[in-house]
Amino acid sequence: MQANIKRVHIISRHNEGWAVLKQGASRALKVYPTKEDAVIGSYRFLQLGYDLVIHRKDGSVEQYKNAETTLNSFPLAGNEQRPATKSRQKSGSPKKMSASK
Amino acid sequence: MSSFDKNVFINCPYDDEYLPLLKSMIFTIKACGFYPRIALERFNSAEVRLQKIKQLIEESCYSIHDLSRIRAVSAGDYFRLNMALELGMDIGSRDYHPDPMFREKKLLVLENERYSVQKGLSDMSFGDCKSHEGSEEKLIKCVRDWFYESGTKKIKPASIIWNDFNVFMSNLYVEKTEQGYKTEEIDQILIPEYIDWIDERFNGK
Repeated sequence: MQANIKRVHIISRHNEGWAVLKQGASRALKVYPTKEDAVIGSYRFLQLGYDLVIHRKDGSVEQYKNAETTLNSFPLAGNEQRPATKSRQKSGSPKKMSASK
Repeated sequence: MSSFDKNVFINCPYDDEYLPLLKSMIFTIKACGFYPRIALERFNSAEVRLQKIKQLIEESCYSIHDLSRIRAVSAGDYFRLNMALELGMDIGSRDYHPDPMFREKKLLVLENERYSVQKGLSDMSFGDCKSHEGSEEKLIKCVRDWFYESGTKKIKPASIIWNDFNVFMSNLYVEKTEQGYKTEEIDQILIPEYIDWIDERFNGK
């Protein structure tokens, strides 16, 4: 299903935690014990031009973070430095998506 | 066009709280190559609801009866008996319908916690129920495994269907947002509209 789209999903894994999954991949990149850890751990994908989709436990979309528009407002972990925004190469993804519900 | 062999009658609550579970169930039915049939698929004030349900039961070889919400929530509330009634109609059609193909009907009864249905419907102890514990991810596994156990072998594992469902929900969110839908309208999408959208995805329209 639309494997060419650059999106990373944070989805619930029953009894395991929260998985980080690249759209089009069949296996998760990593499973974190908490959703917050998964979101912070997925921050780097925004820098790489991936949109970040944070799902609710029921599978619906809680937040859609567009790489272009939300990178600068994304919370940083600890003493992490905010990098410069890279312009996205990919077209076809939503450009004016609301950052959060 | 759907056919008896591919139709799955869904008997479940129609409240907002249950809607996320219903969405995951409908998606799984489609992902396993079947077609969901539900009273919500069409609305006609002139249509008698029980007649519509009878028609859906008669047009479906498979049926899923979710009895997870039949229990009264607070003191003074009544049992929700519609789901149990429709389960009885379906079992009756399987056993008593004059057409022998109805003997091939396959039923899945879902419950919230294991053995909870038997506390209210002790006659149900003859058959196994599957429990989803109110989790969409577990419901997907219940439904997918039941299709496999019923003879549908070439289907994806439950974990992949769960991944696909999440991706599907994000695609729905993006496309509907671009079309001007509000977030609340996407979350509360009409079931016929949701089924149409799944059809478009799976049929590659």
